[in-house]
Amino acid sequence: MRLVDGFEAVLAFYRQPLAVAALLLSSLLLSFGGGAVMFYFHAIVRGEQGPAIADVHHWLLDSGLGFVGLTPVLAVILPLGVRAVSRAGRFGRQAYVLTVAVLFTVLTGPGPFLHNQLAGGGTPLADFATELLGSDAGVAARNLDVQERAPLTEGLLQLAVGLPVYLFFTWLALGLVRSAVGFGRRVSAPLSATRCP
Amino acid sequence: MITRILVGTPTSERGAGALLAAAKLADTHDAELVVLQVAPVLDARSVFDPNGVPDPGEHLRPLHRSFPQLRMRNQQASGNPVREVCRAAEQEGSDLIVVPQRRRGSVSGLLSRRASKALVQQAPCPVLLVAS
Repeated sequence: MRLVDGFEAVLAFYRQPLAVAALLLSSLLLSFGGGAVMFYFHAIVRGEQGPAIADVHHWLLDSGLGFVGLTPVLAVILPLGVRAVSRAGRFGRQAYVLTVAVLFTVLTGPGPFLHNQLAGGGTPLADFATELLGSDAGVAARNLDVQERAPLTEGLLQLAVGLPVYLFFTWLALGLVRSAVGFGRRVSAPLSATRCP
Repeated sequence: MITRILVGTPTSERGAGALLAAAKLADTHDAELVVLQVAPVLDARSVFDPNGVPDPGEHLRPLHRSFPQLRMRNQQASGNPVREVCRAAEQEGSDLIVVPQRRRGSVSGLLSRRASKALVQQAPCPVLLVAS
């Protein structure tokens, strides 16, 4: 497929309301659901850098930024997942979930590094968030133990933990969209049957 | 004289207006009707609504009942609607193309207003745009 044809195909894809709904729902689930798991892993388990704000605020802030920043990325990934379906025959659902989750995991691999550069402890954004949302004494004490970690190790850990997490949330998003569409059809069918011809 | 009409529709009931207009015209002129259903290359329904992928012949059945004498053929294509409709019109030697045009702000219909203009410029025969 030529680049221009690919661009046209993606535009035509997002002219379908179902595609836009799937993009928004997938992005919400991956950013906030996947973000919650990744936040727990990075901030609680690994004790990585961050502003000294309450964990819930931190998760909402990171996931909100992730939603804004990663929705355009997902907008490119989703059509690739749909394309994979046409080549996968009866394994279409698996091909879609695998394609989207793997690409999303790879593209968010540098996430922890970017997070520490943009919003890690001591950055202007972290200071602003702490001033706006208030400092949390427990988190501030936890942040005192922060150790420097190699970006490569962090990236690889992100991939190892991220892949199963994003596989699950991509599968969940697909299931929810399909269920919502099925529910909509069941609700609208009796209504359209009662309409005057 | 019109002997063959090509109607380009999306693979859903959204092009029903154009289909009906084309069928009436074909019936009046005793012309053959070629129905070209154009699906997007990346069809969201194939993943998110596999049960909603329509049977290609389903929304043609009412036409068979309304116009029993009408000679009608069905074709499927996927890709750029303007390119596919032009290609089919040329291959079929159509005398007229009928396509549903999207209203401003609407998502239904095969062609956007800009694509309709492109079709009018590139088509090998006259084009009738039907607001969907």
